[in-house]
Amino acid sequence: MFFQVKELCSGYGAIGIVMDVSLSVDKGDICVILGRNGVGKTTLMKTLIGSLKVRAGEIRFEGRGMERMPTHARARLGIAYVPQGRGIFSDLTVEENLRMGEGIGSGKPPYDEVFAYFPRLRERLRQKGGTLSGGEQSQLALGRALIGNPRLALLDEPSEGVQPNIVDEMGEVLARLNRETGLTIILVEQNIEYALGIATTCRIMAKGRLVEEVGKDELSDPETRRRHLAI
Amino acid sequence: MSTIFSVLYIYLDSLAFLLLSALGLIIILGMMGVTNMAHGEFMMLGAYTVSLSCNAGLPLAPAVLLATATTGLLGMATERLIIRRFYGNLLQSLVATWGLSLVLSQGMLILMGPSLPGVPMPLGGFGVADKSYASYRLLLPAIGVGVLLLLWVVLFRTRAGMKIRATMQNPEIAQAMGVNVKAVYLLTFGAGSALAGFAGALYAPTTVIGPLFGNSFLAPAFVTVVVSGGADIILGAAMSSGALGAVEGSFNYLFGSVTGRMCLLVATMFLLRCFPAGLSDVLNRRRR
Ligand SMILES: Nc1ncnc2c1ncn2[C@@H]1O[C@H](COP(=O)(O)OP(=O)(O)O)[C@@H](O)[C@H]1O
Ligand SMILES: [Mg+2]
Repeated sequence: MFFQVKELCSGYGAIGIVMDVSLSVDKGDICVILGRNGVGKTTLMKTLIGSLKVRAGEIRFEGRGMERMPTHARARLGIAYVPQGRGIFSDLTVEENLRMGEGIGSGKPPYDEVFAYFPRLRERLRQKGGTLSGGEQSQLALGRALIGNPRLALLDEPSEGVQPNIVDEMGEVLARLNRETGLTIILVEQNIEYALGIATTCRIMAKGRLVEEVGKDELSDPETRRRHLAI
Repeated sequence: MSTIFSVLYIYLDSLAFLLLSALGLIIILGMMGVTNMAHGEFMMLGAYTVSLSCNAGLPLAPAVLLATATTGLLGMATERLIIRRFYGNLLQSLVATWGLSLVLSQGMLILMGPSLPGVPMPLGGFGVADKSYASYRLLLPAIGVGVLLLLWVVLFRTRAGMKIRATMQNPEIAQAMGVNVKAVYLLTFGAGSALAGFAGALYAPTTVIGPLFGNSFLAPAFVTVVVSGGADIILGAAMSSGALGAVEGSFNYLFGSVTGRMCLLVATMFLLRCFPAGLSDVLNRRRR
């Protein structure tokens, strides 16, 4: 198994949030995690990259136990993380933000490809990250992750606060990357339409637990969707 | 002509004093946000290293480098044992480093007594219109400006500097970009301490070397960093030491050094009243 999570628990202080989460992701999968606000999706992603401590359970990447590894070591194995809110270094220039991404994974940083996906970034290289618009910041966050040639991308609501046409564009980029480079993606989303458009598997999170795997077609049924996501 | 020169001399002397005493604190307070009350004691340790090694026969320049390395290592030990526990907690780090400063100065008093042998000032002097001046005093501002430029190059023109700035801004994300954040904090605090020791070492030949050596530097250092503000620490430090040096220097020239120091503090209050986020913030806003 490419990426596997077993009975994972984590939380903040005395409060447990993520409970007994198990998840298997095959190489080349796009696994979408859906769920209402506050169920623990971000907490799960932070635990996967290592910002939050694992309380119990396992995280295995290509068979290697990762749950005790510090965040930077996980990143260097080729795991890219785009946090909710984008996590742009606002005082660093766009170029510097991208160069920071070189610390993920290994190999030659694919600047030309990233600029082909997001041409706006090339026009703004000297500008400070904090001066970009919301949509541009999302593109920068994604571009910065891709610069590191990741093998697994953890994306936490990359479409949040982004205008619809850019969301579609980002969806296309993700689908293409997945097709062309075999990038494996775990994508947390509220924006169901585009997420389901590119998903290969889909899990629902509720109260800190991942509930059953749901077929994409089941979620096109408004009744099922409402039950799981209250939308 | 001679008046102009002696005013300029006093001005450069004030500027060097502010800039050099602030050097380490620019990093530790300006970048890392640690209110390091032991900053003066790191300068004292630098001066002690110079006094001991010079009086054992080492020339001044290598003694200054030795002092820089020694305080750098001590700074890293301090980060590991004390500072690391208090990041983001202003009051706790203030109390902890204040405690450290007392331990260091009192410890030195017990260990080495009330004073150490002095170090002769190198380079001799020169005369301008029958007043005599020390060449070393003119070397100090040049060194201060030079080190500030070097700091700028390291921070803004190297990959390591970029990682440091990214870490100070958002450690969680820097970590997810493969940066070993703990190591960055350790080395950055070490570098700040090394610069403090470096400055203390440079001032060793100018004054009495005792356990309270650092006291006269602490307030000017804090004043310079706080007036500079965090928007652009390098340019800010240049601006605030330039402006405050002018105030202190001119009042020092007219009414003596006590009045000069008092006017420095008054000017600080005035500047912070007008520019609460510091001088570099004013510049940054204009640039946008
Ligand atoms: N830093 C924090 N400290 C304490 N509780 C938190 C913190 N961040 C989030 N929580 C709580 O954890 C729960 C899950 O939050 P989160 O993982 O952000 O949910 P989601 O991403 O699914 O919207 C929420 O109840 C939230 O209030
Ligand atoms: Mg969230």
